[in-house]
Amino acid sequence: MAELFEVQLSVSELTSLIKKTLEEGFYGLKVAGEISNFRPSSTGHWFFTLKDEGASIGAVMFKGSTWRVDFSPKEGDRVIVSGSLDVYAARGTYQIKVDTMTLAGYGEILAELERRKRRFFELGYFAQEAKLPIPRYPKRVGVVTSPTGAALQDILTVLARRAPGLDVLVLGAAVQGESAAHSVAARIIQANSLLLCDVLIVARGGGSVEDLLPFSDEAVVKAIAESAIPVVSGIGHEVDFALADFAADMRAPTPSAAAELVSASFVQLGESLSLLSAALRQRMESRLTVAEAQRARNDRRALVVRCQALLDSKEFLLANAARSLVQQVQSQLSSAESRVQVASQRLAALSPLAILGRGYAVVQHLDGRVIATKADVEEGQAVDIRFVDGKRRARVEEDS
Amino acid sequence: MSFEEDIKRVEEIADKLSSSRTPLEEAIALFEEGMALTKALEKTLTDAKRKVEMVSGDDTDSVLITDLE
Repeated sequence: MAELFEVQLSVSELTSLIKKTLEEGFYGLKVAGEISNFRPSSTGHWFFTLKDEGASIGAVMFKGSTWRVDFSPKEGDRVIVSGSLDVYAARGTYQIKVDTMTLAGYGEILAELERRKRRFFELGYFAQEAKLPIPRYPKRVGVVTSPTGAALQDILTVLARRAPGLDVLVLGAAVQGESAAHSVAARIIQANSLLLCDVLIVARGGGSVEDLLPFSDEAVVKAIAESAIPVVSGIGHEVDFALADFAADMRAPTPSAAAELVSASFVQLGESLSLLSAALRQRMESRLTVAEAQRARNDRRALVVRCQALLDSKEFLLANAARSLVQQVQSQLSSAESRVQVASQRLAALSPLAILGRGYAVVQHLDGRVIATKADVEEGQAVDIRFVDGKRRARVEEDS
Repeated sequence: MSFEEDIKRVEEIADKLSSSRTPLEEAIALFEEGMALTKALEKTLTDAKRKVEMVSGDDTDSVLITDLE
């Protein structure tokens, strides 16, 4: 047998040659296998063995790559990894340095889900117009989930805090394994046929894509779509999805969120109640303020003041009236006086004495008869001449 | 009465209270009714003790309910 090398090699030299050969010759690998002896280190790297029926190979995945893996690998998971060979000289071992890791069959599962989704859509399971409103104040909420799971505890805790009076009916179902889809669907149908509650939560805690598969099963999707009781789905974590979410009347990202959704109105009710009672108080107060103002106008002191005001105004009227009465009497009196004056003046003007005052005299017979004409008296006859201040006797002589 | 009917009644009362056409005696009676309703509602909301039950048995046509909490 010809020797490969002329010279003798040290262990290091040989190992270095192997390392060079393996690392340069085996890169860009894609390997399918089953995880065993999974050992995450405290520094964040993952160490495990990939194996199949006939062989096994060590594998390492460094912290810089592990964060991209969207599931938690565990013993027995069938995975597909990509990476390159790595030789550890000190121990003389080789292993796969893993860059990416996906669950085997993940791609097929997604494709199958996509096919189902289209079919369910065509069957009308996702019809928007068939969505039922979630009752604002349900009396009893049904929860279809595992009776022993964390999801149920989360839901019970949230409901106890937010709607302590809301009754809960747990409809226990298997949420993983072969029988899960049938079990969940049967509970939804049971709740409907016996009208056990007025809203249903269909929930499951987080898990791998396979774990959530029963919630994408036609039996479950159909039962949800046909449920006369409104259904809220809360399946897995925020990033997870199941076809049940599309059929549900409302989708919540997690079981807790589904419980929050169902109890939302109770929380709002609490808030609007305190607002309402504050409004009642405030309105009653203002109503009483108005009443108090009305009463104040009618109380005794106010009455006295008002009567006084009334009296004052009447008194004023009275005083006015009295004054005008006096004035009127006075003016009437003065007009009477002036009439007397005028009359007496007129009387004075008519008095013959007044004429006598202006130098006239009246000639009378001795018996007082007035001699008005020449013929009334004869020659030698005695007459009286009346002046203003008295009379003189005279004798009539021959007329001239 | 349901929550919603009760709430509606309280809102109605609040409206009537703000109207000056409601006589004082009636307003006081309404106020008392409204406060009693909100108190009862608050009590139902916070003090009510829920019942947690579980359906057991796999027969979907009959149902056996047991207390859980």
